[in-house]
Amino acid sequence: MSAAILIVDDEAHILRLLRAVVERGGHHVVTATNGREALHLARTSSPPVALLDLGLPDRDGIELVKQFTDLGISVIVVSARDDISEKIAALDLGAADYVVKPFDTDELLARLRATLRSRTPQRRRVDVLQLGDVRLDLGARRIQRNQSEVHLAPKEYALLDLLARHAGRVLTHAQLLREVWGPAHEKDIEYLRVAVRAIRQKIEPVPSRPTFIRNEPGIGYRLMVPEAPAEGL
Amino acid sequence: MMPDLRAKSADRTISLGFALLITFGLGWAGIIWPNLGTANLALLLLIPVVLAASGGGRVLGLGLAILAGAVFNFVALEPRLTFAIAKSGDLVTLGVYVLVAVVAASVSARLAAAGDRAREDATDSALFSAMTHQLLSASTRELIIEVAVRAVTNCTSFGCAIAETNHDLAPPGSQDEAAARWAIVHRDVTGRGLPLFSDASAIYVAARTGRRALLARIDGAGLPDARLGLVRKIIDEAADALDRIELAARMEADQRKADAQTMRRAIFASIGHDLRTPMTALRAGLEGLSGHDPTQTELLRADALRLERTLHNLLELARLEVNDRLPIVCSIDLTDTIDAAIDALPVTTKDRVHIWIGDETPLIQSDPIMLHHIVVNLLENAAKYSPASSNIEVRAESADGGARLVILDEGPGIDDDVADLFGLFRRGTHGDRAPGLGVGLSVVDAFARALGHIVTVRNRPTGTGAEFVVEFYGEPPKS
Repeated sequence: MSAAILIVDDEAHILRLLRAVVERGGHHVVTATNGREALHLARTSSPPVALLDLGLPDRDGIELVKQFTDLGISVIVVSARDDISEKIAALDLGAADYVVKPFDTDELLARLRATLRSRTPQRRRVDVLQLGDVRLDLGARRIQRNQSEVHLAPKEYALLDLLARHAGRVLTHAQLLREVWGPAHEKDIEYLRVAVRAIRQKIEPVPSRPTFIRNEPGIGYRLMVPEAPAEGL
Repeated sequence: MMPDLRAKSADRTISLGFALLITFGLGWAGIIWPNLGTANLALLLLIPVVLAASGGGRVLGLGLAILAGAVFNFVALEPRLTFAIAKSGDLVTLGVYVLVAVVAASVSARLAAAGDRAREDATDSALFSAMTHQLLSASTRELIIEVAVRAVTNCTSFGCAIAETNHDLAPPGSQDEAAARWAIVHRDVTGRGLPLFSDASAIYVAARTGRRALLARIDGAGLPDARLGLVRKIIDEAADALDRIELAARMEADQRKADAQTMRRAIFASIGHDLRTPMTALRAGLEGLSGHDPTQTELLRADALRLERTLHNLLELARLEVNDRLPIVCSIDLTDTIDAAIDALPVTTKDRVHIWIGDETPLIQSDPIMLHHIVVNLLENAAKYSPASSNIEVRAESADGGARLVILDEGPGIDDDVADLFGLFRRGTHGDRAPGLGVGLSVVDAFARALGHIVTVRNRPTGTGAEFVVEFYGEPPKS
């Protein structure tokens, strides 16, 4: 396995628990209990991903999100703070994901895998996603469902494309609106709702029970890609 | 300060006395020493003219100029010691002399007046800056008004009173009351001796600035325009000072409120943190249980989830209670809401839920997080009060220009005590066998109220079970 995952949490038993979970997922682990240690490890052992608690004794973890992201480390915030504005702040600062304590360990591992996957360099990344019976070819800008073409409006396609390029990661409403509709429409959530609904009508097996584009209440959307069984890491 | 009129008239008398003394003295000297010289005498006689003009003003100066001419004629022009003039050339000399004296008088008078004015302006601005200084350090309304009253009194030498309404200054039904009211309404000056309300007993000056009215009554009349202008500046400054302390008071109150809010938020955050941290260990521990009956561990996990939700609900209720939880409303697709709510349920409950969403269901306006908790709690309630394997149905549809979310269970339904159903910690009579505190429905009720959604409950029209309905109004008009 490649470089170790950095886990930052000031509570010893939670740190132990996170270590056990991540090691169960087949990863090496380095740990830190405060911000200073965490930054030191981030620089010396260059982990691909850091699981970061926001409530650190020596500084606010939200400061580290930006510093880690600048160092090229993907950050998954694992916090007991269930505050919507804090989640959005962390994600907007570049955090790859946000998991609230108490968490489901399988869920945490799935998020970790998705984050690691999204770090694959662009040229090596597959441009084709299979979502159930829907085949999404980002290179050719084509969507097929059971061999027949699916036609999306330009904004709908741009939205799906953006979500697909960050598959498994939650993108905030503001991020999606900014990228697809432009900075002036950052608060026009209605556009987003309407487009998501339209896409679901065209690609979901049961649009009222979405399986691909999933909602994070108050935060944003995430494209869930079924994991290949062989990828058990 | 206004130069004292009495002091001024004394000044004038003294100037006049000196001027006359010098004039007649010079005349006497001219008579005694005939060879004093015409030109010398003429020049010396200009001294009293200038003296009278600068000390007593233009009129005195002109009088002295004529007197000096007469003395000059009497003493220096042939035939001497008479007012007659022998040579026509001397007539011209006298004429030129008087003209020079008049010009000198008027120039000196003007210079003196300008000097007076400058002195007056300097006094005024000293008075004004002293007052603004005092106003800055005045911390109450009473002190500000006191400072302004003192300044106006100093500036006008009249009595003065300042108040924020006309009732405090003018007796009702009088000409004065009308004048006072007019001044306040027009933010202007009126009253005794001024156009409009000249019969009033005092002058009323209202502040031109300030958020609230401020009115001064000056018990006098005949103030020059410059004085009145200064009075108005004083009143304006006082009105501004009143605004300033009001603003400061409001900012302080806001700050206190914000501090309290920050403190509350920190307390809730720390309570939340302290509850979630052990739950993390608990849940992870349950997931690690192996070698046990999987259905048994699944039940434990569902219990842990329910405990989490109850703690969460209690926390949310407390936050709502102290106004720490204000709705942030945006457009929402009920498909998203239902999806996320089901995702938050224990696995055993998830499988029981069936969804039907009408194609025409409009977007609704709500707070996504609060609505999420409403729906999760309604679903948990449905699961709790119905047989373990029975179906739970969730429907979303358009209704009367808005939308409606319906949750149906296959439990025993409800009794007549519907009103109590949403009360904190209350449960239906069937509640004995169901776990939980009934906090869930209290959260539903409290959040729905805060959001303006209407939640109702009744027994299903067909079959047994309860039906909870959340109604959303159509989009509110865009502001």
